[in-house]
Amino acid sequence: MSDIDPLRQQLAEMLNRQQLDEQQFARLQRKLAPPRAVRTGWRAKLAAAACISLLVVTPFFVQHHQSAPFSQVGERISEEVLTNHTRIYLLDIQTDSFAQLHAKLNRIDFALQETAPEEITVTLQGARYCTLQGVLATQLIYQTAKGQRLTQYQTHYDPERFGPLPASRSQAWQTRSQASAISIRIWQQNGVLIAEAVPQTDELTSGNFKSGISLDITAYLEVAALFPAPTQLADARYQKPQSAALQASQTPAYSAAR
Amino acid sequence: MNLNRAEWDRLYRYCLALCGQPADAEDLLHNALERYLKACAQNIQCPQAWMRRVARNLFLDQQRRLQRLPFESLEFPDEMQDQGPSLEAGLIDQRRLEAVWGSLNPAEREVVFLWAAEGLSASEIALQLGEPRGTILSRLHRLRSKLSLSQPATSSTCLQGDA
Repeated sequence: MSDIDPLRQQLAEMLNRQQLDEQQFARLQRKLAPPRAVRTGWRAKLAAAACISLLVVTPFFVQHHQSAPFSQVGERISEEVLTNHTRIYLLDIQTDSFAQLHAKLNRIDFALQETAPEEITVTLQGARYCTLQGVLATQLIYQTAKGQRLTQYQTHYDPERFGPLPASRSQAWQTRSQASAISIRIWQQNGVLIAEAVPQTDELTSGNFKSGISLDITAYLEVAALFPAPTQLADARYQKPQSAALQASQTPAYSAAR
Repeated sequence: MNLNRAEWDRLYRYCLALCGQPADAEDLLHNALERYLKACAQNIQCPQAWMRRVARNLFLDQQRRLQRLPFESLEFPDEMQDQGPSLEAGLIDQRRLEAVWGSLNPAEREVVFLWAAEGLSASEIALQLGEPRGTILSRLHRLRSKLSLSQPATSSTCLQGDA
């Protein structure tokens, strides 16, 4: 046996020329590098589970949200409007001038609409920022000639979020809370969703307001004085109306349009 | 894992000897590394040997899955078991050597690699691969035969020597 086998040596030289290039070596080193994620163990698993749940649930939610008929969205908006309507918040701007509202409500991303019900005379009291279904909105406060409060909510109208809406006040989607004697109208105009809570004046005047809520402090006190337990009425002011109490009644024009 | 560059290159060459193709060899090396990282690495005393064995097993599994098995199922006949055929120690044309290397099947390439590049004897190779020494010798003999067959008739190259 020779000490140096030329064939073996030749083969060795040939085979040992093969080696990892820099990129291949770098790829291996990257694989060896410790993971950057700080989360380990149960926290990582929890985070992964949360992500998976979100991925699974989100499409269903989005699909449902997008395909939900407006009656469902409308009821949710109505409940929110009704709740806000019966509470008294401090106004961000007290003014009877729409021009001042335009000037001072500079956080909103839509053009404020100057619109009020034609059947009653109202005076602008002011406005405040609020949200409607989680979207930045404004609450405009009006006062009727009888001292009642009319509130109007305006926000950017996103058809995918809110669904189709009638494009004028006259065709507005309407619902009415018998418990609080308030009508709520919802429509859109010029790309702005408008929801309006209007007190049922006729019911007040005809004495059918036993279970209702006055919308104005003065009017409330006047009405409450007629009943033996005004504190119960006062408590009722802050109770969220039940869904069953909202009886949606779409206008014929809107129904036909859908 | 504290392998230096030379050790990584050795592992890569081994994978290349098995696969025959650089891209496949790199994949195999990465797969073996993943196995290593998944395994309890602290308990592995010799990572290089461990990864070499894992790479070999992965390669065999892959070949079986693909039903290729040019590995000749590792049940190579021991027809040359006791003859101890020597690989000739003559200078061979480099291109011919590469051509013969390329014509070997994975089992042969593995044995030749361990014999030539790693410098192991037939007995050490047999021990490492868990195969009879005769099987190893027969694979080395096959290399010699292929080299002899590819030898030009006029060539004066003398194949002699022993493994």
